[in-house]
Amino acid sequence: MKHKSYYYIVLSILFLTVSLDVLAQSTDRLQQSFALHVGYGNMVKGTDGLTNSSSGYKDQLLQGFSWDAQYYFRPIKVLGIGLLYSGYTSDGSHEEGSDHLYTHYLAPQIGLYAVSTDYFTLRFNLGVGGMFYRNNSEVFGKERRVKGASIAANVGVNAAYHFTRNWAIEADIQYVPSQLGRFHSHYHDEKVTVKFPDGLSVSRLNLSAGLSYSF
Amino acid sequence: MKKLFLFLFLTICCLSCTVEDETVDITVMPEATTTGAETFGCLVDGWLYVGGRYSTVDWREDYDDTPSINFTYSEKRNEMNVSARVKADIWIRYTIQAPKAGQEVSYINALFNEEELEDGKVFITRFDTKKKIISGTFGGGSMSNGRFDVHYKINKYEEAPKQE
Repeated sequence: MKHKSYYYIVLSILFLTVSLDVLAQSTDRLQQSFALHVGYGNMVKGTDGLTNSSSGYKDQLLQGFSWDAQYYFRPIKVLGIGLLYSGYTSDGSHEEGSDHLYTHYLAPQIGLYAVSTDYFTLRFNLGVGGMFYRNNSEVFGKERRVKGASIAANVGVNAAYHFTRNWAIEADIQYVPSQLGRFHSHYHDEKVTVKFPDGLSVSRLNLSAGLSYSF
Repeated sequence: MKKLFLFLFLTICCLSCTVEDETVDITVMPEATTTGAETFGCLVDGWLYVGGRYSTVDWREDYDDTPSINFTYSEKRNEMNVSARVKADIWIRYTIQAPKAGQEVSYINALFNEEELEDGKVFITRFDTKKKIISGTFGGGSMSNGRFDVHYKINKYEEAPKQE
């Protein structure tokens, strides 16, 4: 299942690469942009699998720092295709241990430009990709490393104000729903697979801002 | 002939099988509860051991399945025998003497598989003889930070009427 997910991601990237080439030949208005954002992330549906299952501790880990990088190629005025990488981290500790969560999301994107003037653009985007979950935790002072992966999707909106021809400041909102069916916990030289029949939610909402460069 | 031997071997092996509940994460300490949540966990030499994942299912009619966490109360002796299977091949066993709710009592005969451990203390947070729930915290020597919250069984052999 895991290999199948990677296969679909690679296939999607290849498809986008071929599309880019075809579209590039059909238009003179090539426009590309690269953006970096940082901001606030919230695992809106909560999360289990921590070293402490109290609701107060879970709440502490649900809010954290997010960052992302986005690349878009815009062959026509209303459509862009690109790639999104988005990361999230939060940490917490309690009497018996600690958790340091990371989630990394990577997905090809399709963007629709609803508004596009010389100074302002508003883009809606969506994509399907892979979510990679990590928890570098400790239990009673001993290391516990958790890893998991699943298919995920994202929808988002991005507003950009171009203060020069190339540079813009951006506000970005992304919602990334995802669930893990299992993860692998590495503890005491052993790998333990833990299954979640109802799914372990790793969905998150990112509210971020940053800079973009268009060329 | 070889196939027949293989069939017989597999049949004998499957009369009593280890069942693994992969929804139980044995790399985190279970929450401290008093509801009969069927949890058991402790540190031995600083490493965490948690019950609930490995149990034994026996297909033979006269044999009972062995749950991962097994607390059996002997009313006559007023002691609780504890057996928790914390890995596929590791059991933690000890005997709680005279359990009483809200009191600290002793445990003896502690074993980590065949290795003898020091005696220690158990604080009983709940001992409900109607619902047959016992909860508590325990530790002593190399075994520490222990907690459990389980439904216990009565030693049925002791309860059976005596035939004179």
